[in-house]
Amino acid sequence: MDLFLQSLISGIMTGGVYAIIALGLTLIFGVMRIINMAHGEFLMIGMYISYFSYTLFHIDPFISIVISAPLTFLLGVVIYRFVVSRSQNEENSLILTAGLSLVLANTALLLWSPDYRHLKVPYGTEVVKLGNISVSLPMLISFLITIAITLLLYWFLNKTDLGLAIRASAQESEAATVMGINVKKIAMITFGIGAAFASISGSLLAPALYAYPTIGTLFLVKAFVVVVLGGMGSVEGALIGGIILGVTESLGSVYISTGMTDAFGLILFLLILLFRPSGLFGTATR
Amino acid sequence: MLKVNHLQAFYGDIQALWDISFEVQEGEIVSLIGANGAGKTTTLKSVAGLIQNKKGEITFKGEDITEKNGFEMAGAGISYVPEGRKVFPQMTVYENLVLGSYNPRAKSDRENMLEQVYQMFPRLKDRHKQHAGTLSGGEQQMLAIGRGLMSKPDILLLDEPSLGIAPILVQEIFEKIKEINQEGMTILLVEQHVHHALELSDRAYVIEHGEIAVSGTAEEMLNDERVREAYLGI
Ligand SMILES: Nc1ncnc2c1ncn2[C@@H]1O[C@H](COP(=O)(O)OP(=O)(O)OP(=O)(O)O)[C@@H](O)[C@H]1O
Ligand SMILES: [Mg+2]
Repeated sequence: MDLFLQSLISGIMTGGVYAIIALGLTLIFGVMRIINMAHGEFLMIGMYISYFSYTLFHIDPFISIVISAPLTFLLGVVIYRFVVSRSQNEENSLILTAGLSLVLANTALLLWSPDYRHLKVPYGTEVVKLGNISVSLPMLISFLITIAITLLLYWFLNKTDLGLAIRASAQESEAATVMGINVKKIAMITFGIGAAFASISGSLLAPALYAYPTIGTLFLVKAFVVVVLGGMGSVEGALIGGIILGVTESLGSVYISTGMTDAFGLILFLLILLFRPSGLFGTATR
Repeated sequence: MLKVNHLQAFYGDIQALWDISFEVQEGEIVSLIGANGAGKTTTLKSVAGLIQNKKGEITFKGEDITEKNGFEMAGAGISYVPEGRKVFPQMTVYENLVLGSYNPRAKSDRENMLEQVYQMFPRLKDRHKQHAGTLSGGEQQMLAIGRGLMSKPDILLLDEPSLGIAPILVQEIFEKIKEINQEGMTILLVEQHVHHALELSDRAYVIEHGEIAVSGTAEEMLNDERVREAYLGI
């Protein structure tokens, strides 16, 4: 029973990070109807920013979020402005962002070599005891940050004019224009926010995983699974989808096989596509 | 107040408007009448800056606005209430109205405008927490008009406000339009219910195949042989 609870909780915690990755993807899709194939690369960049912040300047990876998030936001804005906004339709943007993904991954390969890099924080192996269950300290911190960021996003989208403008652009872009919203500018900002979310999750994962230039693909696939689970374009869906994926992986690796962790998500993905093609919760909400 | 001169408009290679000229004076209700596909919506959208590919000249309050972007129009004082309402379906009634006052000149007066809109459409106040997508067609139209008013416009462009609405509500909508006008709002109206529209209007223009075919006061139109035959079914 303890083992079950233990892996359940660790699954929920990992799921929080997956949710953040998927939130970025789903926001971009909601506003622009673009599936950003380069999403994982922004995560990779976040990991490297945290890695170098720590090794060069001794900045804690969780604190380096305040560096990685704004930097990747700007990078996302620039890339949107000069590359992504040029595509005229969905097929083009799919190919364009897929190309972008290759360019970013290969640039990282050139700059930082294919070496696996590990960010070792001193408290990396510390655990927090909750009764019979122990939770890794970095994981707990990262989960708390995830919750804070999700609440912040929720507040932003519901209570600020800019957030309302993002949702309005996603739901009825022409009516949004009539309201005085510059939808192209909103798209650019949203792309930046999406990129920042990917990189924040990269920073959160940095103490737990090895960073390498092509790690993005793995997490792009995970983000797809989450989004398919929760429905494209939904904040709540991304959260629930992320947690389902995290728990599935965690239970699967404990009770079935550790080596197959990353495969469980794909199996889940196939099952959902076969039986609930519009996601677990029916039609997508925005 | 609004002057349109020899307007032509295009969707890609397809020309939708060939020669549209008309004007609206301050305080008037002016109707645009025409068959399906005649170009009424295209005309309103051109004025609202939602169609980039156009020729001719549009001036508003003496300023040339032909090249302005759609998102600049709310700030300039033009509010387009689209055909089919186009409310934000997954946002509450309140959020829809707040977005109406997104432009800076309306934002500072948001609370006040909200009060006025709720007073005019009490039903919106009752349902302010409800998602717009769950409202009836008539309520959505009230919301679309209310949202349009929230931007504190100088002119309201109404595109088929009675489209797809229960007959009992149609009368109510027309009364509201009259009320809004009596409070001083200039209105450019497109309507399928031609009779209703003409009774409400000061003047009207008939659009046929992207050109102005007939124009005159509402009374002249109601008596015009061609208009009666083609649009009033008499
Ligand atoms: N997005 C578009 N792409 C191409 N052609 C269009 C588009 N929208 C309208 N048209 C064409 O432009 C012409 C004018 O259309 P418009 O919508 O302005 O007519 P309307 O008078 O508003 O008609 P209705 O009474 O049906 O609303 C029509 O021939 C229509 O087929
Ligand atoms: Mg029309």
